Order: sequence, then structure tokens, then C-alpha cells
Amino acid sequence: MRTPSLRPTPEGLACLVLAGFLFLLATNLMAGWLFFLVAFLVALLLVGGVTALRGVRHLRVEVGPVPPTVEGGMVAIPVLVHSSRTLRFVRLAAVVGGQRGETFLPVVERGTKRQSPVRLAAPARGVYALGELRLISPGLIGMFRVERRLPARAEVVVRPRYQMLADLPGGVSNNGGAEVPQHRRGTELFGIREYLPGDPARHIHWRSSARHRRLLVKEFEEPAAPILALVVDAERGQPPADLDVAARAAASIAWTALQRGWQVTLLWCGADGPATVRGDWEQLWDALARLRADGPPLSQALGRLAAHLRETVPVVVSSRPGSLRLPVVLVAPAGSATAWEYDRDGAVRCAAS
Amino acid sequence: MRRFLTRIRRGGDEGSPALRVWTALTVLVSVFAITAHEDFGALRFSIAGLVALGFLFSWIRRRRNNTWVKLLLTAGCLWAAWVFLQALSQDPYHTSIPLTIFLLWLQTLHSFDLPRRRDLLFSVLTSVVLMAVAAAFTVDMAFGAFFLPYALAACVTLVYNTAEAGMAAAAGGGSAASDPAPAAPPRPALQRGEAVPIAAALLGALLAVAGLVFLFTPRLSGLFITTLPFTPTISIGERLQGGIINPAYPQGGDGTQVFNPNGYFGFGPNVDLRVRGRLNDRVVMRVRTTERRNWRGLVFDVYTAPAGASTTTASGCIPPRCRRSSWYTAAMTFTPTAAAPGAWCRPSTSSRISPTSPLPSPGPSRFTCRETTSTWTATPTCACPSPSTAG
Repeated sequence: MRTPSLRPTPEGLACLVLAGFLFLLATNLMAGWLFFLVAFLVALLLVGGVTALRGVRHLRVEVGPVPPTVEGGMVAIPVLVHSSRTLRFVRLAAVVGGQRGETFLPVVERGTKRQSPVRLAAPARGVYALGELRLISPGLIGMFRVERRLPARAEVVVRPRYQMLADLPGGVSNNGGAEVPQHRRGTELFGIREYLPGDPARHIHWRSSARHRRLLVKEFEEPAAPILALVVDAERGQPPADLDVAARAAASIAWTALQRGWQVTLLWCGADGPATVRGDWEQLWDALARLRADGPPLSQALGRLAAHLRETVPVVVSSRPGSLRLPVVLVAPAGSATAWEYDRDGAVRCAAS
Repeated sequence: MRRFLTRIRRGGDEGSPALRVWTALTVLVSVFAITAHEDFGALRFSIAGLVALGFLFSWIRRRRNNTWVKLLLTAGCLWAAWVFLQALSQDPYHTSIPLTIFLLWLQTLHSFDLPRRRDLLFSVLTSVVLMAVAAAFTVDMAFGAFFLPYALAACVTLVYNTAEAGMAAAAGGGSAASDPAPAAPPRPALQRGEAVPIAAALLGALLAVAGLVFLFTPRLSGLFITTLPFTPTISIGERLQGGIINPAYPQGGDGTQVFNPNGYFGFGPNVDLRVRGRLNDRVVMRVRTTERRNWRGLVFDVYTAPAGASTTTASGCIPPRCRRSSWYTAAMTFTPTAAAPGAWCRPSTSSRISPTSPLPSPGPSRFTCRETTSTWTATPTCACPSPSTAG
């Protein structure tokens, strides 16, 4: 624990100023009750300070793992408070990414453990380390504010927000292969089996049925879902806000593609070289939250990621497309003269439409 | 704006009903404490009633647009200021009474516009000033009957305020988020009646500490600051005649004067009893001293009808054996300097006393003398109070 800081509140300052003024008045008038009123105000300050200092002692705080949150959402830091004495009016505050949140405990009974989440507005997309919690005690009468900083280790992940898109970027449906319907049936012949009620008549294999004198139907193999390679431009030097917007667009594309039966691979080239995340939505989303602008320019990044782009449908999301001339579907900010563009909310649409 | 609206909808930082009730009690006790003084007694129930009504009114209208209320209150403040300035212009040397009345009216008007918890705190602050004025006016221990309830109400108010400030800070932290509100509804900071035992226990500690502080508070009697560190501008102009001009004594005329509230009376060889108002035996001043000092007083022992005047000036003193900080009784013994058969001197409304009897109590040195042509010698004597009456 670090040394607590003791500061007067506005109420305490008013009390102090009033006590000083009334002391001068009492000295002038030599009025006993006025002296006692001054003494009472001084007592308010003294007792207020003592109760405030007492409120930050005898208290232990533990921080649990913080569930990930979304941009614009709320961070809830689970805090477990344990006190060896009964304390009142305890406040716990945390600052994450410039956002401050507090929780208030009217009373912490002696020997009990209380869990109370510290809620705060989620900062911008990213990963933040919670280094400390601030234990604040105003005492019983709020004359002083004592603050003690307690070490706390926790990671706060803020994921980009996203939205369902009406259309996936045009290259996916027009060039790299037709956009796959969600309930598409396979085309490769897998085998022949007996007819079951409900099988469509056009799947009946008439020749085999005639040979075996019973109805047999063709069985088709489900095709492997196509892979959407989602490349995010993580070029160093771009403003963090630009990368945040690109991450939102990438999240919207990934979510929509997954909903439509695609496999999605997220790729970027960072300071540690090419990186790939392939899996379910949570993994992709978390990777987008951790994305940092520390990679090479997009043209170099695509060259180093070329091996990962084989047999995939590549879609590149970049906040600074520049004069890139590559056979990929490029999704860029609105107004950047690309076929597909995204806005600040992560919505992706065809610029031509 | 969204945060603000969210806080408004949730009840935000407007203060709970309990906080408002205790704040109103705090203010009311301070109003009763100051109106216990006879100069404000006429305002006692009107001010108290208006304050209570104002708190109720501001609670009802705390979430509404109160522009017209603020306009009316502004007009009320201007009216109170006008009354104060008028009183000040009539008697510029006695500002405490009109200033206190002005403060009472401001407190009353403020009670009608208390939409937020911060406004309640301003009311509490003003109530401390009212209590200070009441403490300055009081001359006996009866003030304690007001101070104790006031201290308890103020403690409960502060406890509620501290709890609700914590609640407001916790509610304000995450309210900017677009996520839905927390699942659990905001719970009260304190259960019903929980604050009173806390405040009562706190009050005991506060009074004990205040007693200690009071005992060790220095009484710096030499640190008087009785005037401003500058001289107010005085228009001299044509009035500069090289002498003291007392508006109570206009020059010329037939010598018949009327009571003039702007008059002032200092040391002088004579005094016109008619310009000092109606004479009676009411105690108008008590003097308490913290140390031995010489005091000078005036005694007029020759009455010349119809103007009524006396001539002898005498000085009084506090006996060296008197305790400090105690009331004392100054007495005068009157002795005729010339043989005057049947002469006597008595207080204006009391029965006759012998020339050698001391005055029974401190009071105005006004006497009715039967023999107006005799010259009387006034001999000041001082009497210490008995231990049972020493204050």
C-alpha cells in the first residue's frame, strides 16, 4: 500500500474558511458561544479527517479477471473487498484508458467479503493494463477525501464494435467465387443410398433403382466452406483512431462471413512478422482488439502474407490504401476511391451503389 | 447531455427525501435560534413557515423547468436588498440587524430553489452563518437549547450527504456507456433511520473534541479588528465647519427637540433627555470584560427642566479583585454638595433611595431629582458580584 493522500473536500474547505472567519469574529466580539461554534467546526474537520483516514485502513482488495467488452460498452472490473473492521462509505475507483469509474460500498462489515464491480465506460479498442485501484474514503461526514492507491493486476480488452452487413465485399461474390448461400448443398457425388421419405425426386438414381428394383437416391458431399482471408493493414504510423475504424470494418466483414458459412482467417503483418488467427468468432474478435499499428506498409505486408493467401478469397481492409495495385478486394475508408468502403461505425458497402 | 439526462432520470444527484428533510430541519433550527433574539422575533414563524414551504416546493419542482421561479426569486432577492439598503441608509452605524434580516430573507428565498444536492449544501452553509449570528447575539446559555438540535441535524445531514455523494460518483462513472443500465437498480445509500444512530454517535465525539478545542482556543483580546483597513469616503463639502455636528442637536431653533434616530451621543457636558427616546428601566447593555481596565462613564446629576441635563462627569473602574470575564455592577453614590433640605435623587421609576444607597443593578444612570438647583457629587463605587451570581 502506498501512503494515502489527504485532501479537503469543498465542504471541508468551506468549513475551514468559515471557522477562520468566525474565529476572527468571535475574537472581536468575545462571544463565548461563537467560540464554541468555531470549536465545533474545527471538531468537524478533525473528526472528519480521522474517520476518512480510518476508512482506507484495514481493507484488502482483490481484482478478478475482467471480462472483455466492446467499444461504447461498459467495463466491469470485479473487485473483492475484505475488511478487518466495519467501514462505511468506501469508494473504489479505477482508471482505464482515460475513463474513470467508481463503485460505492455503503458499508463493509467486519470480517466479511463483498464483491462489487467497478463500472466504467469502455475506452477505445485495445488492450489496457489495470495497474492500480484507488481506494477513496470521505469519512463519515465528507470533510476530507483520503485516497490510497492499491496495486491491482488485470487486463482489460476492448473489442471493436461491428454490425451485420447486407453484402460482403464484391470480390468475394463476383471473382473469388460466388457468395455461398448459407444452406447450399454440395455438388460432388458421394454415393447412393435407399430412398427415404422426403428426398427430392430429382435426386433419384433411376438407373440403379431399375437395377436393384427399389428406389435409390444420389447422395452428395457437402463442400468445404470457402476461406475468406481477411487482411488488416497494420502499417505503423497510422493514427490509432484510423486503425480502430479499420478494425470495426474487419469485424463486421468477419462476423457477416461467419454467419454465411464462410471460414475466416484473419491476417496481418506486425512488428513480429506475419500473424494468423483462424478459428471461431471470439478468437477473431479478440485478435482484432489486440491489433496494433506496428507493421510494414501494406504492399510489403501482402508480399509476406502471400503464402497464407493461397486458395483463399483475400479481402484487404486498409485505412490508407494509397496507390495499391494488387488483385485483392480492397476495402478502404469512405471517399478513398475504392470499390468498397467503410464508415466509422464499421458498416461496409459498395461505393458504386 | 445523455449522462445528464440519465442521472436526472435515475434521481441522480438531486438528494434523497431524507437528506432534504434533515437539511430543512437544520435550517429551521438555525432560523429559530436567531429569531429567539427579540429584534427578529416578529419574523420567527413567517420565516420558518416560508422555509418549510420552500423546501416542499423545491422538492415537488426539482425536475421541472423553474425559469419563472428563478425570476420571481431574483425579484425577491432584489426586494430584500432594497429593504436592506434602505435600513442601512437610515442607520449606517448599526448594520447588524438589517444585515441579519437580509440574510434571513435570502435563506428563505433560496429554500424555494433547491433542485440539486449541491443547493442543499449551500443551505446548510448559510445556516451555519445564521447560527454564528445567533451565537453573537446571545447573552446566556439558552443558546445551547438550539445548538444541540442544530448539531445533531447537521450531523445527520452530513452523513446523508456523504453517502449520497458516493452513490452519485459511482453512478456517474459508467453512465456514459451505451450499454444498458446495470442490472441491479440503484439502492439507497443508507437504510431508513440508519443515519441517525451514526450521527448521534458522531455527535458525541464531535462535542467532546469541540469541548477540548474550546478549552484551548486562544482568546486574543488584543486582536480586535473593529474597523475596515481604510476610511470610508465621507462627503465634507459645506459641512466642514471645524466642529462636531450632531444631527440630534440641530443648531438654532427654540431648543425644543424631538427624538432623532440618527443622533449619536458621546461625552459632553449635557444631554437632552427628550432626543434619546422614551426613558424606561429596560436594560439596554451589559458590559463584560476580560481584563482589568479603566472605564469612563458619564453621570448627569443636575436636572434642568424642561430640557433636562446634568453636569457632573465621573469615572468608574473595575475593582482589581474582580475576576476576569465576570459581570460587575457599577454603582454610584450621590451626595449633595450643598445643604439642600428635602433633596433626594432616585432612579426614574424606582422608589426613593437614600443618597448613600448603591444602585441595585446595572442600568441607565438616569435619575429624577427633586432639587434641581443643587449640585450633586457623584462618587463611583464598584461592586463585585457574589460567587453565586458571577457569570
